[in-house]
Amino acid sequence: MNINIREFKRVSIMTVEGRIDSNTAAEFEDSVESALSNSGGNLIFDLFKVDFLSSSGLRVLVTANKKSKSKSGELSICCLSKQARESLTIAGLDVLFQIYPDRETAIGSY
Amino acid sequence: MNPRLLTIQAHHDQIAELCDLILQVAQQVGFDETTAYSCSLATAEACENIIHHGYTGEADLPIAMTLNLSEEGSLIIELIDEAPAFNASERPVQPEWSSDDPPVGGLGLQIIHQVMDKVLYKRIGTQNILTMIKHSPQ
Repeated sequence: MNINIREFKRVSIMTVEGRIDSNTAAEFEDSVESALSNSGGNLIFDLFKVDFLSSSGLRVLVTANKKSKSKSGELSICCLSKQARESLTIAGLDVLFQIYPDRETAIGSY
Repeated sequence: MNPRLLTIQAHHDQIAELCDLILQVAQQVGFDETTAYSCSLATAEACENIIHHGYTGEADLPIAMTLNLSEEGSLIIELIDEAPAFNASERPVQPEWSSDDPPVGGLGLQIIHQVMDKVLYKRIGTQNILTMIKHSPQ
């Protein structure tokens, strides 16, 4: 798994590549914590290059959403890969997140 | 199809090997990419549960997978571990939840039962045997 974070004025974008599963969830969670702290709770996940998303990763996303709200921030997802979309849908969690088709639309919503 | 066997040690970084085999075999026998992915996801969830709850953490203990195809074309994924008995065949009750209080626990078992058409369990000696079946796409 590779993680890249880019900070904009109102929001940060976290781009994740590879597998988000029980092997990588702890590293993912640490990065998310850090990004939420630095962005005031506004965070976009770009999951275009995520080729596997298990419940361990979904839990990090759900927890991040709660933390974002507690900071009066907003968390969203853009550029969902087929696999990430399938995992969110199977778990019934797709309704929980604001999902945008591309980065520009996601950034523009903040 | 000849049964495909693969045994890993109960380490999180080895689960991907099982998933890759399922993705490959499921598509070879006619399942679409999305269904193949969901079967590999269910298997990863079962393995994560075995490691986390069964073996109570990573250990040099086995998780053995057998992949087979029934005469009707169903994909049969069998996982064998040596953890204390745990029956994963019972579909968990999904509690009502709101966007303010989404679930963070029990997702793995929910996913397994959401994806697979049949989930069977038996205990033989010291082994848990979990059988997950996905019916043929035809």
